Amino acid sequence: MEIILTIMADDRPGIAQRVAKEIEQYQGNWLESRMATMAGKFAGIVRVDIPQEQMNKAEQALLALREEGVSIHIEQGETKTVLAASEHLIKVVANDRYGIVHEVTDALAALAVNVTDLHTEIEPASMSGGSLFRAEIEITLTDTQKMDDVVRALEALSPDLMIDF
Amino acid sequence: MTSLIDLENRTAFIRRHVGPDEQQIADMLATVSVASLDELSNHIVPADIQLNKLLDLESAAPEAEALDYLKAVASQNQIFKSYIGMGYYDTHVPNVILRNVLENPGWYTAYTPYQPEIAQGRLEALMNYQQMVMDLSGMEIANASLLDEATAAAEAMAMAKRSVRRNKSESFFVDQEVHPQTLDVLRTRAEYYGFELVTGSLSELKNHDVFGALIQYPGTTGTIPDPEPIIQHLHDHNAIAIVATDLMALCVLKSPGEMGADIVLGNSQRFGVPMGFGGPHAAFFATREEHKRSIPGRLIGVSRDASGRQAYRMALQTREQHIRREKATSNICTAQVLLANMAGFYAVYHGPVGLRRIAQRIHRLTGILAEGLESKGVRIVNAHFFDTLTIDPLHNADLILARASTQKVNFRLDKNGFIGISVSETTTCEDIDELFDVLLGEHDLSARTIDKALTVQDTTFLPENLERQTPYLSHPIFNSHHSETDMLRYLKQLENRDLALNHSMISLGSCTMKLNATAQMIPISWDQFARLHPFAPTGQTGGYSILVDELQAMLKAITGFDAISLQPNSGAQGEYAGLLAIRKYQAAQGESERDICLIPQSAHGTNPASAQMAGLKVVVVKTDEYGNVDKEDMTAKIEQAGDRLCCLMVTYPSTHGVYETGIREICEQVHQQGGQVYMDGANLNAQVGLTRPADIGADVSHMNLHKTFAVPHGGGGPGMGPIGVRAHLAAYLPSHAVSPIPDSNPLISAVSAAPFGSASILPISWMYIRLLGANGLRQSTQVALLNANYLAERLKPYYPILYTAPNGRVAHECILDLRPLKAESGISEVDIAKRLMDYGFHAPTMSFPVAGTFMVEPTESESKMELDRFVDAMIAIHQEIQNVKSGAWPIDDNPLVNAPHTQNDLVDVWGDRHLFCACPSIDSYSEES
Repeated sequence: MEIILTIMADDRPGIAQRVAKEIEQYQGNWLESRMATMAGKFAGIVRVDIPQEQMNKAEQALLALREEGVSIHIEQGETKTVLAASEHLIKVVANDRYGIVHEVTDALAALAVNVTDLHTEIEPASMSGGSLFRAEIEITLTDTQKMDDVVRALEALSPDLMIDF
Repeated sequence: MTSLIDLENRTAFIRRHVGPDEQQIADMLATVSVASLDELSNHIVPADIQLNKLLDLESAAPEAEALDYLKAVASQNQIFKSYIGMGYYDTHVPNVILRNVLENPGWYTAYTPYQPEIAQGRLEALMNYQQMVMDLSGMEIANASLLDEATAAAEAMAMAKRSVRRNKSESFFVDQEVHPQTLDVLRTRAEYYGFELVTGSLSELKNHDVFGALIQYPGTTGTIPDPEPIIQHLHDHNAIAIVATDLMALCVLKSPGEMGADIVLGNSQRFGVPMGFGGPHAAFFATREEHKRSIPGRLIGVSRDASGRQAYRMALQTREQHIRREKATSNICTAQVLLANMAGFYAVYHGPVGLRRIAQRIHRLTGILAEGLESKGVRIVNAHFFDTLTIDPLHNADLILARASTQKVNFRLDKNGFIGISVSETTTCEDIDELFDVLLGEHDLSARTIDKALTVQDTTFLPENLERQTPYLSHPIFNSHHSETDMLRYLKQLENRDLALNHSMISLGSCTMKLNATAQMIPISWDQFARLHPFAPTGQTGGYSILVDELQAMLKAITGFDAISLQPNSGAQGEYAGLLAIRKYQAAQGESERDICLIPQSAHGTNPASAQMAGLKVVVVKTDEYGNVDKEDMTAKIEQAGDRLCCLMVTYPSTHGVYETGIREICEQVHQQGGQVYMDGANLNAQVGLTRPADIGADVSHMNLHKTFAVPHGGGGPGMGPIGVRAHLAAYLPSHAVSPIPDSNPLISAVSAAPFGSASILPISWMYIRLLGANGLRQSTQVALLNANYLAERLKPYYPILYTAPNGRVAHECILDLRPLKAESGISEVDIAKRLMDYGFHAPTMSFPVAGTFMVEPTESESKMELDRFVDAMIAIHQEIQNVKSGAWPIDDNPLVNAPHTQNDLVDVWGDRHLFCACPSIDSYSEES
């Protein structure tokens, strides 16, 4: 069965390795993961395939890591049947401003576009200074959803917002 | 007793150009722990590439002597009255603008207005320019200038293609009435974009399936087509309508905007900017609101400062930030700000009434000429005209040209035996009488008499449906500075808002803001350089020939190359021209399949854009932890590219300001794989006299005259990017369709509208090299290295230097890493930049090439006093940051985050959400204050 772990800990070397060791012990298969360090915290999401019969013991072992300062939340994964969809990557650059992530996700939600992955970062803009907002958004579109509409909706947010796809 | 030679002090200019005196140099050498300038440069420049001899140039000349010599050179240019036209017309530069803008360091030594708080003056001037272009063209949005009309047309063609995604055609139509130099540049650009150019008369357009078309209005022969049905036809076929036009004609002609044009462009030269044998001039470019995201070049917009008042800034900057490395379509960066400002001020000075009067006078004089000639049976080819007649001289051509030569009159002669005559602002009634003499020989005509008849009949020669009905320039700014006192004060008021080199050091890394000496600037306003038409017959341009030959010889000596092209109008255009030379050379060797361009991660943003425009695929080479090119990755990428390796584009010293070792091996590796080396010359100021690009292994390199060779930045242009090449590439340098370049291959088309780019600023670089001589150039470079290393030495206890050579040295610039301070205190590089304004400084380059840093390039022209003043300001700011870190000052309310206190702080968010690129109404000022 597939489970999703969300991991949170104070950042230090060896956290991922510690979690991986437990998963291996219960014949789990590490399928994919995202990890990041932000503001001194380690945060990770891991998708694991684990044999049904090992599930309970594995769950206990993972939750016990809390004693080592690694708190883990476990959810069962679902296999969703998605309508015929195409995957797209959109890159967004804009001057950073309060609420910009919300504006972008709102615009996508209004078109009922499914976001499968969202990376954002803020970096200083070269030459002119100021903060630059960058996002890489993976979306899936159904047959009736058009990329042109997505681009138009995002471009409507502000003239400085640039999109590559 | 002192010798006369000593008293003559022939090297005096070196002391004028180099900031620190002997004592200061000695003190700084002590600080960086070396005994001499030579010892320092030996530490910095890798031994295997050192020049170890003086450049093969004359020694320094005194200012008076160099000026005298150049005056004699200039006198070999002959000023004929120019009726050549073709987008260039003689003009009266208003004297108040000539002296207070063109000849004023407050305007010409400023940098691109990246820091709006200390650039409100020229931002307002550029806004006036944009408003003027919008009004006259009838369009909704205009940029703050491109390099010249021909490259503007090429940009328009590229923009058209990306604006009509549903139109799959790869063909672009060019009206046969387009100026020939424009067509020449379009040919160059279309080749590697893969576009097919179709030329013909407008009536043939309907036979072709195209994604866009360029119409000239009025046409190059003077005829005035009605663009409206053509524009309609293009729109019906989902294609873009581009109109190349003339601002003066638009004062009396219906605007292309009213007829539905999508893009309108042209040259703003005749609005008070000298012809200068081809430039520099600002090209204008306007479009509709719906295309605002695709407009090339820089755009000024309205934003608000922290107290809610109107303020200007460059808008849509994200377009430059946007990583479109693989999708870049335009490498435009340097614009012609100084010249755009002059054209905008010309409109402010004359106002709508004055401009209309000038346009009507030009039209009337042309009409008088036409009436007189027709009354004598001369056939005028064009039925309608604004300022240009094309006449058929029949069998009288030789006679006419002989008389023209005697009277010192130039006509246009490149149209199959026809004679073209374009009237300008400087043409007088007496000139028309003279033209009758030249064109007719014996006659009984009088211009004044013909005028009387015309006045009575109220005749115009414009097509009736194309006479202008709509007003223009109604904004108060164009209607309130018409006395010279008001104009003078307006110019001064704007100048006072800006920071330029006549105020303090501008230590922008990679920009080389060195002294632009007065003696270097003086020749550009001499009539013998300023009033020549770019296509004047070569017999009249002997002075320019000498200037070009001598400057080319100087640049060859400095770079080690075998041939130089002076045509490219910016560094980025130089990159493009250099890459084209490489591609054409490889094609001639049967190696057209070489299409991979290696570019290090730290490259200038224009490199990948230029490569893309030359049809190359960019492969990025990694940078190692010391900021150098990752040699393993380089080797791997060279091998992977194999027979498809076209070239490497590399900046040297690196964009990180370091003289990397092993550059020679890298060049050899590329050559072994059959590739060529393009060396970006942005950092040439660290090389002059110490090493040479060609000796290092470069095949081609551009030289930014506006960095290393003292052409002032003009607040964001002019610039020039001549290229030097080794002998095998010489046959692939750009030529010119109208005025072929001596010794060039006529099959190679042009990259700029004029054969020698912005020829009238070449005297600046000639003077720079002549005044310093071989010795002075070498010393300048050495002091540039010393100044940078001195700054690095003094600042490093407070701000880590991000990259150095293994021995701890930097080249001519250094990167201060501000990220640790930001992490500790929350104070950002922008806060520090704005705080520097309070201390009276322009901030160094922010976040390029590494985010969260300052790149500082002091140049050789700054004295130790000025460097110390800057260092002290930076140390004081460091102390202030400690107060924030310790909690003594609150993080959200302290002198750093509240800076600048001496200027109005600009907040960007309002301008990001509202793109407003026109002069704000007067009401909007009062409403906010």
